[in-house]
Amino acid sequence: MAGLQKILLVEDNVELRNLYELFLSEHGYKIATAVDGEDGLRVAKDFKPDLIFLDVMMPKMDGFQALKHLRHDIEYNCTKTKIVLLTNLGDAGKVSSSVKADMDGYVVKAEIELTDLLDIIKSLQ
Amino acid sequence: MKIKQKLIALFLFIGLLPTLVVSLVAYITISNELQDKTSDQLTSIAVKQQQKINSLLQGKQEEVSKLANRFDFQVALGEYLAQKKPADRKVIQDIFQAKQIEVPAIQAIYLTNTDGTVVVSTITGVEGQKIKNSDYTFTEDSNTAVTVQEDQRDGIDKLYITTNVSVNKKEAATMNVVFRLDDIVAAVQDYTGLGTTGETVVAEEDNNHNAVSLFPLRFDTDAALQTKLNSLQLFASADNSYRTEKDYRGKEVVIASRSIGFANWMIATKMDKQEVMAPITQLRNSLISIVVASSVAIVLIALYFARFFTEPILRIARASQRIGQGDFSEHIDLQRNDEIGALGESINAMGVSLKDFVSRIESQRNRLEVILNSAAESILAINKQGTIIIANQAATELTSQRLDDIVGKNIHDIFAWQKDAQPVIIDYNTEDTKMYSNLHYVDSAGSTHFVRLIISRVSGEQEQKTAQTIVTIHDETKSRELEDMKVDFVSMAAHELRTPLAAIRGYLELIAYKGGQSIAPEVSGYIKQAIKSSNELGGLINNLLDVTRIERGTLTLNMEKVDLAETAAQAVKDVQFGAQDKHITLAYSGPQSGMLVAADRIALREVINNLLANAIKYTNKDGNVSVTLERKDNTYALHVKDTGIGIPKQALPNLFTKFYRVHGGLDSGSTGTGLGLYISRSIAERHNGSIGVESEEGIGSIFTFTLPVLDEQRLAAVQSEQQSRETLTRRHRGWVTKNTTR
Repeated sequence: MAGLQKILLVEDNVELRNLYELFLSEHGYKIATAVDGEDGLRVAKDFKPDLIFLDVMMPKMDGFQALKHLRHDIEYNCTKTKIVLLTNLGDAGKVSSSVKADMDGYVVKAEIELTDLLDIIKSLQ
Repeated sequence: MKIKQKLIALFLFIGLLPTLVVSLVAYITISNELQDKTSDQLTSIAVKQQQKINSLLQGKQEEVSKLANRFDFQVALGEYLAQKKPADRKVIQDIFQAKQIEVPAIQAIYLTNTDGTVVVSTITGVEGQKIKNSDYTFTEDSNTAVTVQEDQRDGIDKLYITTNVSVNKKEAATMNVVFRLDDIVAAVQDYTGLGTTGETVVAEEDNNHNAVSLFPLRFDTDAALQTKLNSLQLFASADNSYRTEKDYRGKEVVIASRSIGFANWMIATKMDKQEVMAPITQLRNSLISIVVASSVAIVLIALYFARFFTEPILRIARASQRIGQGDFSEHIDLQRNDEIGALGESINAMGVSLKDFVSRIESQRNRLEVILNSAAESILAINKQGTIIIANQAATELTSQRLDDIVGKNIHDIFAWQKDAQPVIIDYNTEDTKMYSNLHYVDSAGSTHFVRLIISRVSGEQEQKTAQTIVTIHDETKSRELEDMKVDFVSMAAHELRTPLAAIRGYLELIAYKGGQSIAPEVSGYIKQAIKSSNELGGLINNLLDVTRIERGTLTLNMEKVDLAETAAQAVKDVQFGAQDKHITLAYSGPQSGMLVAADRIALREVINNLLANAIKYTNKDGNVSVTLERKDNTYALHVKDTGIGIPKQALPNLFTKFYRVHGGLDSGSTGTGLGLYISRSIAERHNGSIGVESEEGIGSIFTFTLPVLDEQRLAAVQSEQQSRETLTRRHRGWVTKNTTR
């Protein structure tokens, strides 16, 4: 795979979504955004991203549910897509084993710097 | 009862004893006097007799001598008999007339021989007959004898005056003048003047004071005569005396004797003692009657007085008993004005005040009961055996049982405490106050209550029935739920804050990144300040989250082999710039590496950072912060010493408490959540280490963080456990990926 170019940002916080979109676009990634889980599934189906940053706490459908659908519903074509959860949780203690199996990692939003995102993307390639 | 008996005894003693003594004294005195009088009387009788006889004998000395001269008498009789003339009564008559006694009829005159056979008689038809049992044996001194014998022919008692005649020894030995005894008695009766009671004899005594002959003035029978002779012998020697003797009938008699001053003769008088003693007996009987009557009277009086005193006391006792049993309506009306009446009134008054007192106690009790029942805590009073004596409303709610089902039961049967799912046996028999936390209890409805027990001793006395221990049960179930909600809320809020914070910091970074060189240096400085502040805010939120994790017990540590020396040296290096900014000398002394511990790398840094940050924060300009690391036995100790403002003594105990901020100088102008030390200590304890402090205000503080020296085996065990739990690897502080085998 020649790098992860298409990134889907599913994040309900508009400022953060815009910030990440802005920052990652600046670095040449093709970005699509969604405002909640349901929206995320819809966008993912058409956009066919290489990587999805999926917020956990969202209205309508939270990240865990969306993760499950993305991984296991073939209609979204995301069974092999890298999925990284965006959380505010600092520990993995509460993350269920199925989530652990389905995701590729998670990011504690408040604990990373913007530039860390680039390292994370690179580390997943 | 006892008082009554004692009173009776007292009254009897006081009343009866003098009566008895007086009676006795009176009796003795009077009877003595009477006896004296009787004796006098007897003596006077004897004297009278004596005088009478004396006067009789006066001037008739010759005749009496003649009479007494047996020879004359014998001759006269002998002549008479020799002449065989009819009886000349005149001779005998003379003899009696000399005594001025009416002459009784002479029955006969016999001459008898030695075996009592009549030889010659004044009456016909008796010659040759034996009329007496035996004849009198005369002695040299006495040829005359007076005897009473039964006449063998007619069986009548006869008096014989017997004289030794020996006129014709072959034919006759004695002469007997025979009288009927009754005639003699009748004749003598008038003479003595003593009436029927007095029996008097005139007796002749020999040189040895034996009565050898007597002249009976009055007597009963031959036997009586013999007795009299004996009696005379007994007291003849005691002249002018009297004494009590038993006579031949066994009857008690008083005999008085007195010499009559004529030859050897005396007079003796016998009187019936009963008769003599009659006045004394009468006196004694009346005295006895008086004593008995007065005794009865005294006994009755004693009983009355005893009742008089004891009855009201008994009434008072009964009333007191009823008052004691709670019947305060009891009123004693003795209707007496004396001390006992006053006592009764006092008890009435006491009853009234007791009633008042008890009602006050009852109202107090009711008030206490209301207080007890309105208490949120379950309060139980138990005795030494653990039996529940008192329980309040809250206790019934806690147990979901009725009050009656709790009181009287043993506390062990009501509550089965558990801690960490293990049964806990509580020792309620404690001497002082004890507290048990984090217990839980499943009530009869199946709900679990989280409780805290406080057991306090009430009194030192250990009576069977009294409450000795108070058990207070705080049901913390609700407050625990609230606490959980609070933790959840804080956790939630902290999470929610993180997203906008991430955005703020991101944009600031973006500005710095995109602006690059075109940004004015001062604006660049503002941006750095904003990033720093947002980082601090992030740190605060992280602290809050750490606290919630500690509270929930969800703080997970990723234990691995860490070099404490390296970590500490690096941490000191990292804050060196900050210290220099404040003009504080920060020095590290200790090895740069080689002190291995088992720790969560990030948590360990957090603790050291926190200690260093505090030291720098609370140390003024130009102060010193020195960090030393040493090994003591199996422990590494990291000391962070500052020359800061120090911590007040009273603040030390709470220093590691959540949200605790030292008031006063310490917090002026400084910021903080009061969470750092709390989190640090929790982390240290999770590592089997500790954090302690020594401090003096104005001089500085030394915080000491200890960790056990690495135990490889133990770490391996912990890690294998971690492995099974944790499938994620923390790559970066905020970036976690799955453990990958790829």
